[in-house]
Amino acid sequence: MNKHYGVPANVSVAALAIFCAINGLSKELMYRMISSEYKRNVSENIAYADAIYELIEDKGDGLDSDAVPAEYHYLSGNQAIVLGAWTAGLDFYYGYPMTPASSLLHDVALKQNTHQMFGIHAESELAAVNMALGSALAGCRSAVGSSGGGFALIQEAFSLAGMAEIPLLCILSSRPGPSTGVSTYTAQEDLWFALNQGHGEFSRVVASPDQHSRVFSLAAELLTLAWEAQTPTILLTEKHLSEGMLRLELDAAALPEAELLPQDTNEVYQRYWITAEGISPLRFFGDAGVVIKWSSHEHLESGLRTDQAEAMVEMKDKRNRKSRLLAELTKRYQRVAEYGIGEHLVFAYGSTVMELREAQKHCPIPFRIVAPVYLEPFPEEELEQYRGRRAVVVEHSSTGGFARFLNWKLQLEVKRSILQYDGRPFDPLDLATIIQEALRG
Amino acid sequence: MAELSTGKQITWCSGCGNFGILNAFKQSVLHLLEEGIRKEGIVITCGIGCHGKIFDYLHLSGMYCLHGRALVTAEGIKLANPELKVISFGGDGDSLGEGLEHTLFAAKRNFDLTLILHNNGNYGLTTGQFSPLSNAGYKGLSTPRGNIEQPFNAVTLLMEAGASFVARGYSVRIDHLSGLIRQAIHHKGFSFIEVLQPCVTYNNTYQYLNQRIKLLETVPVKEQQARELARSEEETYIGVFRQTDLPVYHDLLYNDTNPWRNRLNSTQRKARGLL
Repeated sequence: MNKHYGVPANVSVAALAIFCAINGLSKELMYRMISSEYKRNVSENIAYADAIYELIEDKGDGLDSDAVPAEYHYLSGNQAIVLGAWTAGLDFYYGYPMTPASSLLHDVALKQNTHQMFGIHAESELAAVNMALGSALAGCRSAVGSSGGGFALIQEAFSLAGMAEIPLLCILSSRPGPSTGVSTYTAQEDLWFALNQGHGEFSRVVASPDQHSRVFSLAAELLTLAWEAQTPTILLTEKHLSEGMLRLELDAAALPEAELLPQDTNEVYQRYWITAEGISPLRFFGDAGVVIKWSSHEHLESGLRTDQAEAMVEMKDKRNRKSRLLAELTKRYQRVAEYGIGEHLVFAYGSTVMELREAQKHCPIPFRIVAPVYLEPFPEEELEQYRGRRAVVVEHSSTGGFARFLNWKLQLEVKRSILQYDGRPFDPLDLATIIQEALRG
Repeated sequence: MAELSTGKQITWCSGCGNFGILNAFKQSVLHLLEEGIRKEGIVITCGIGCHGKIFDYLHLSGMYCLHGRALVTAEGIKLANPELKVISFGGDGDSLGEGLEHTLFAAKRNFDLTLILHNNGNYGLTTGQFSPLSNAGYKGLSTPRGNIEQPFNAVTLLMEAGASFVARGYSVRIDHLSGLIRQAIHHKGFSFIEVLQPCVTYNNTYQYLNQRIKLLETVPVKEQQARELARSEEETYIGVFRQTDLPVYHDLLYNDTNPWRNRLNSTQRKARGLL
């Protein structure tokens, strides 16, 4: 490449050229990116990138840019979350920067003019989540997101959303912890944190996308579920998926809509009217003729505070009935993904499934990947067939939280718990070898 | 006044300064209703503490929020629907302790909201511990040897943070306070009223305040003068310390849009396409 570029090769330009060629992005777009991002040696950089692009093109490794249909989008996981949630109705995203969730905020802020969606950088995660709840009370669909540390602050109002029955979509994008941990790497240490988010007892949904394209639909599903059940939901993902970019085909028409709300048939509006399903009609501030009282305290149907024994039990039972409802509502969606066939079972969730699918291609012993997408409510019906079975479990954790979870829920006999906790994805070839050994043993 | 009451039994101590604030607020709201403001367009939020009980006594829409988070919840409400008049009640522990960052940021942003701060100089609901506004030497359960910290001055603190309307009232002077509340709600921008509120059980300041209270006749022209009056050691001034027009947050963010009124539903979004 020295003939194109006298100085030592610029690795980032080379990476850009490879990316463009493999993904079928046009040369013109590549030139534009180089011209806008590299201030010096533009013509040398373009010639250098051009040569690399052609090498890949000549080998036939890349995609033909003309063949990429219009409904394909190059998106990071976070961008796909934003688009999925927006399609379902998201109006406000409130956040505070924390890698790898920051780009959710950036992306929403960029879309204000094009999508009528607002991204607000608050003074803290505490502020962000309470603002999000406030916007929901006025009828706008809202969301918050962070990584573990910021989510620890969100936790306070997560519990409030459970008590006050406020719809809220939360995105928890994990990085290695505990504490500040390792900012820009991946991990799955927050499964139990998500499952147990918020003090006190109340219903919630926790789901984790097993591939990039699932992010788009899952964000819409979780926003919809939050509004149907008036309770908080968590999209649990990892740095690897949040910030990794892929070409995705997005079918917006198929997404659920966070729009249909139960009708109010009472003469006098009561925010916490007790119903068989546990869902009270929603009205919004400003609606004519109604006084709407939301409360963080235990409350009566009217929303006024109470500490009466009978009233406490009635209201707790009402909220708890949502768990049953959520178990039903989530059945409309794909709650478990499976890849491959065979008697051998390998369990994973989240972006680890993507690594596992690469390993699957290289493992001489065929195995079936079982990937629960919904973790709470647990997809009992789909997974019943695996109760008590022997299986390998793969995850990015040092203590095997997912294996413990499966053992608790399914009495799964964990034949081998494959753990990686150095922040890096599994090397597919290494993982294939480890799984092969585990399945033989 | 009856139409503004929920009928719930009031559990403040007999003689509590909160009664004065409740009555002054009701008076102000009745005025606003007479002026043609819709009752449904008024939204209240409160935190946790003795002040927060006001929420259950007022037949108005709103949210009984978490401790310290009433104001920031109000910001989320206002952003979603800027037509609403949103008034937040806070205690001194609530708004200047647990929720201090939210109070300062709401003022910094000149958010178009009203914060009514019930300053009783202690944590009454949790049995009288010292608060961010307790005087040095104040003895409570957590400071048996006396408070070793200096209190904030709420008025100058909020002026420094950027509030465009800053006032102080006294729960005993109900008509005066009611006037301040009306002005604050009409003010476009962040309006803050510190209400001096004696706590008969833990911090009975009636006598002390009755002797010191002095009325500010006009808004001080100079900031320096306003600060000096707010900090005066001899007298306790009540009235408006600052009233100025500054751009408000939601206008700067989205001009005259109303996110709630103009929101596209999911079907409309699908028809428009993703990008």
